[in-house]
Amino acid sequence: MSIRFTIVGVVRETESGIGVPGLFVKAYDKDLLFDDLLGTATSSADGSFEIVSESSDFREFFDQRPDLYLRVFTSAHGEEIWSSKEFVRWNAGSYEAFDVTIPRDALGEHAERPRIVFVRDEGDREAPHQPGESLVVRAAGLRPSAAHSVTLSDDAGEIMTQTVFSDRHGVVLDTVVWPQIGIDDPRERERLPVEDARKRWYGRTITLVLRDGTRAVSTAKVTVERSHRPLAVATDADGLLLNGFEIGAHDARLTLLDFPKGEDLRIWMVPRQHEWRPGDPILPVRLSPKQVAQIDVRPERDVARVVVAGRDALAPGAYDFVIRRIRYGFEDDDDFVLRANDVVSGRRTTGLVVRELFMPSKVIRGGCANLQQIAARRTLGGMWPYVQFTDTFQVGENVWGALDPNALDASHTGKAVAIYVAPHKTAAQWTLDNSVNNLPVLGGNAAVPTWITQSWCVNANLRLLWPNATQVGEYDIVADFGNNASTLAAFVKDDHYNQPLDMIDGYITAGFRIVPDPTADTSFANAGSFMYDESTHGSINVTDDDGNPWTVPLKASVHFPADVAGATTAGQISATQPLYPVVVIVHGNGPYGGYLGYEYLLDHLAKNGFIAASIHLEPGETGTDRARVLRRHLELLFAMFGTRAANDVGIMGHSRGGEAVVIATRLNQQEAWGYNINAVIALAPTNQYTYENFGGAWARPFLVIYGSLDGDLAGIGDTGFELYDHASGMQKSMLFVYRACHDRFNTVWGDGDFYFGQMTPADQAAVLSVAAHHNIAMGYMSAFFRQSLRAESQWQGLFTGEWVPAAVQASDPIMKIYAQYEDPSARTIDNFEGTHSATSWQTSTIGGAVAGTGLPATPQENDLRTLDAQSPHLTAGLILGWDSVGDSLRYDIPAGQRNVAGFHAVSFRISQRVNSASNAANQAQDLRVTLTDGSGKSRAIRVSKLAEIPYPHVRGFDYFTKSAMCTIRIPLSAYTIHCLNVDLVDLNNISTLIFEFAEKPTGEIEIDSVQFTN
Amino acid sequence: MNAKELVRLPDPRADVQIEMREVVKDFRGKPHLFIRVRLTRWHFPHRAPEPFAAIGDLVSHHVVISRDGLQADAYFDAALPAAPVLSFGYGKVITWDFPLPPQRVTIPPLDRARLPEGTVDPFKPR
Repeated sequence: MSIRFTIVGVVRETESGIGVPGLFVKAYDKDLLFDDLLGTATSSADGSFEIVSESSDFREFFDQRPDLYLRVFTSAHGEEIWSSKEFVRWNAGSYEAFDVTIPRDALGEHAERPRIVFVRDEGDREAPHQPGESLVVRAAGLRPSAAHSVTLSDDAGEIMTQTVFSDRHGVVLDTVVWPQIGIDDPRERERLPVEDARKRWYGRTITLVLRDGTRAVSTAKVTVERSHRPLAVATDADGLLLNGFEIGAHDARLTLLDFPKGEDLRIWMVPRQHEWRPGDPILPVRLSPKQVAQIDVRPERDVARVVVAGRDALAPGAYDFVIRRIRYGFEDDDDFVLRANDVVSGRRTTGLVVRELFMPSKVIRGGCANLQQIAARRTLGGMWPYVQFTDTFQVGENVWGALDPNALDASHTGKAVAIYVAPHKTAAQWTLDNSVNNLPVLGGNAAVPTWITQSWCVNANLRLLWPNATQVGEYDIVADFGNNASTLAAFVKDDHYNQPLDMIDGYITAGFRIVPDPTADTSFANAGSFMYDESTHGSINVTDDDGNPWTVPLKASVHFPADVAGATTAGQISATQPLYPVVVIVHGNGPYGGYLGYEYLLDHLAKNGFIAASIHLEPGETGTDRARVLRRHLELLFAMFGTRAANDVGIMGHSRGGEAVVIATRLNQQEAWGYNINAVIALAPTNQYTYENFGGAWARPFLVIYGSLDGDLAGIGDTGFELYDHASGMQKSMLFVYRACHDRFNTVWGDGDFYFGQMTPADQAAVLSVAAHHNIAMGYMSAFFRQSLRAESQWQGLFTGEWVPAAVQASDPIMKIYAQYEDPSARTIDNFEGTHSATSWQTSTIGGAVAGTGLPATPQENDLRTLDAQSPHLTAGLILGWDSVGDSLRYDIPAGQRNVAGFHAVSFRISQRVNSASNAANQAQDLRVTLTDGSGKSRAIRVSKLAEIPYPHVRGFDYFTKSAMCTIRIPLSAYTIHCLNVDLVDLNNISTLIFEFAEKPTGEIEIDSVQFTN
Repeated sequence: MNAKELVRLPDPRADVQIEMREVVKDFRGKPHLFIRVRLTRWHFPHRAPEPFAAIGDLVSHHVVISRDGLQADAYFDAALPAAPVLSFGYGKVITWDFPLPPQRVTIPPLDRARLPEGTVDPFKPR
C-alpha cells in the first residue's frame, strides 16, 4: 500500500521575514546512489508551498520513509539559491513543515520589492476600515535605515505627509499614520460630533504614496466603509472628539456608537494598555478609596453618551475603556479578564489622556524648560506596554522617539514637529549655545523626521529616529516646534532648542546613551572551564556561627578566559593578558549542589576577562564558616593559576553567602589573609549572624541586589537593606529590583522560594522571568567587577540608578529597579543619627536649623523601624506628612558650609510609607527640591522629572511590603543651566535647602541621608 | 458524588515524629548540655533564614537540618514548657505547628556525674 507524504513550507526573505513568491522548490529523498525527486512546487504570493508525494515515488529496498531535503531555485530551470542537502531529515514523517529563509542578496530579482500595506486596528489586513479606527501602515523591501515619506490623499487632495524611518532590514513596523480616521480631518477646522464626522468619510478612498526621497516606491489604497462594529470614543457632552485635556477641565465621557440597543453594558476605565488581548487582566482605575471607575449603562439609541468618571475624581494619566455586554446573573461577566467580545476603546490609540497642568509640571518651577522622555524602545511581540521609554540602548539597537501626549500642552498638539538626535551637551554648553545638530549619520539637519503631533496617543507620535544605532555616546533628543505651524506644508523648523515652546529629552542629564551592554558585552570569545573536588583537594574543617563544627569538601566550578574553545586546564588561560583578576561566588543555603547554579554567570565573567569560580558549601552552614571556606578556595585558585592570577579579587555572595562575603572582607583585613579584595557584591543577602558594620579599614566598593518578591528572605528585617545601611566609607549601591525573587538567580535552586509560604499565587505569577534574573546578574555584576577590578568607569551610572542595561530593561516590559547610592565624598546635611527627642529633628547633622511650614503633624526623628514597622532599614530617619501643596520642610545651611560648587548633586534617600492613606495608591510620589542662595535667588526642581519616588511594591502578604528608600540625585547643574524666566542659583553660597511638597496634595514619606555629593 | 464515598486522609502534621532527649554537644569549644528535639517524617527545606523551633514561649537555641532535609534537630538550653504544639519556622516567621503529646513528656536526664568536667549545664538548679 502506498503512503502519502505531505511537505509544506514558506520561503521567506531572511532580513524582513516576508514570504517570497515565484520560487521553484524541489523535494528529494536522499539515497545511497541517486536521490529521488519527490515533487516540486512554486511558492505562492505569500511564499508558501506544498508538495504531496506517494511512497511509491521513492520506496526502494528497505525504504519505509523518505530521507528528506529541499532545494530552492529561482525558476524551474534557474539557479539554485538554497538547499538543505547538508541537513537531511532522516526517516521523515508523513507531514513535514519547512521554514526556508534566504538572504536578500541570494534572492536577486526575487528579493522583496518596496511594498506598503494598510493594517487594520486588529491587525487584520483584509477587513475594511471604518471611521474611528486608526490607519496603520506596514512596509518592507525599503532601503535599510533610511528616511521615507508617507503621503495620504483622497479625491480632494493631500491629507498629510509624514516621515518614517526604515530599520536595518528595510522594514517599517506597524506605524499609526492617521489615528481615528474620519473623526477629524486634518485639512478642516470644522468640528462635528463623532457620529456626524465619520459619515463624511463613508465610501471615500484614501491613497497612500511611499517615497524614498522624491521617488515614489509603493502605493496602497483603502476605502472607508460603514461596518456597524461597536465603537467607543472619548468626547465632550456634544459628541465632539475630546480624548485629551488638562486635569479638572472635563469629565471622562464616552460616545458609544452602534452598540446593541436596550442591552446592559458595563464600562471600566483602566490604565492605558496597547495590544489588548483576551485574557489580559482588567484593573479598573481607583477614583477614590471607595470608588473604582466602573459604570453600568443601557444604550437606547445607536448613539449614546455616558460619563464614566467625573472631573473631580480624575487623576493625570492615560486611560483606555473596556466595554462589556452584561447578561443578567452570569458570573463570568463579573470577571476582570478581557474577553474576545469585549470592546476596547482602541487597540493602537489611547482612549483618553488626562494631562497635568502644563506650567506646574515643568522641571524648573516658573521656568520654560520642557523636559520630557522621548527616547523609547518599541517592544515587539505584543508585549505590554508596546512603547517603553528608556535612557539606554545597547549598540546596534533601534532608537525610537515618542512624544507622550501626557506632557503635551495644547500649544503642542496638532502641531508640526521636527525631532533631532544630537550629542548631549553639558549644562554650560547648552547655556552658551542652544543650536541643535542632528547626527550626521542620520543625514544631519536636512533629514530630521517631521510629523503632526496628536493629543491622545503615544503611538500616533511614535517614530523610528535612529535605526541600528552604533555610535557609543550620550545624546539628547530635541522636539523643535519651529514656527508652530499646524501643517507640515507650512512648517519651518529652526534647528535650535528654544524655550518655551520646544521640548527636550536630556538637557540636565543625558537624554539617552548608546553603550555596550554589560549583559552581553564580552572581551573574550571563549571561556575554558574545569571542576575540582575533594578527591584531589580534600576538605576543610570550620566552625559555624552557632558553634557547630563542619567538614566541608573542597569543590568548585572554575571558568577562565581562553583562546580556544574547549579549554579545560588552568594552563590554557588566554595569552592575551599577563594577569587576570579573580572572582569567587559563594552560594547560600539551599539544596545540595547550589554552587553549580551560576554557570551562566561564570561563563559571562570569564568572557569578560576574569578567573571566575563558584565554590561548594554544605547545606546548613552559616556566615563566618562560609568566609573561611572562601579563603581556602582563594588559596587553591591562586595556586592553580600561579602568576596568571592577579591579586585583584572580587567576591559575590548569594543569600547567606552575601553576608559571608562581607565577613570575609573584614577577616581578610583583621587576619591579614593577604588578598586585595576590591569589589564585594551581596545578592539577596542575609544579615543574621555577625551583623557587620562594613567599612573602616576594610571598606571596599559594595553592591547589594535584592528583589521585592524574595520568597525566602521575605521579612522586613535581616535583609540586605541592613547590610547596606551599616556600610560606610566606600562607594556603595543597593538595587531594589521590583518583582525579583530569591532563587531564580541560581539555576539549581530554580523556583524553590515560590514554595516557602511567603508568596501568594499572585506574587508567584508576578515574579520576573528566569532570563530577566540572569540578565540582572550578568549585567550588573560584570559591570561592577569591570568597574572595580578593571577600572572601567563607564558603568558608574548603573549604580547611581541613572540607567539600566538595555538587555535588562528589555527583558521585562515593566522592569523597575530602584537604586540607593552613596559616595564617600559628600557633605551631609542631615542623617538623623544621634539622640532622638521630640525636637531633635529641628537641628540637622550639619548644625543648621530645620523647620516645617504648614505640616499637619510634627515630623518624627528616630530609628525608622521604631517609627514604621515595615521599614526594612536599620538606620535613623525622619517621617513626615503633608496635607497641602503649600507645605514644606526647610534646612538652613550654616555659614562656612554653603559652598557646594565642588559637588555634583544634591541627594537624599526617600520612601513612601507603606499603608499610609496620604499616599495615593499605586502612584509615584513627587515633590520639589529648592535651593536658595545668599542673595535670595532660587530654583525649585521637580523630582519626578529626573527620578521616581515609587509606590511600595505591595506583596500578597501585607506584612512583607517594605517602606524601602531609594536615593534621589538631582544634578546641581539643574540650578545653573539656562532656563528662560528663572534665575541662576549661586552654588558658592547656598543658604537653604527646602523640600516643597507642592506636587501632590497629600503624602507621607520617610527620608534619610540628605547630602551634597558626587 | 456521595458524601459517604469521601475519604479523609490523616493530617500529615500529626504524623511527624518528635523525639526529645538530653544530649551533650561540643559548642564553642566546650561540652554543652541541651535538650534536643528531633523532628522526622517531614521535609524541612534549607533556606536563607535560620530555622527555629518554639515550644510555648521558649525558642530553640539553634536548629540543625540534615543535608537531605528529612530531619531537624532543635536544641533548647532551658527546660521545655508545657504546650500543645511545637512551632517550626525560619527567621521570624512560623511555618508549621506540630502537635505535641497531650501528656507532658518526661525527658530522662543524663547522669551528671558521668559528663565531662566543665560541661555547661543550663538545667542545673541555681
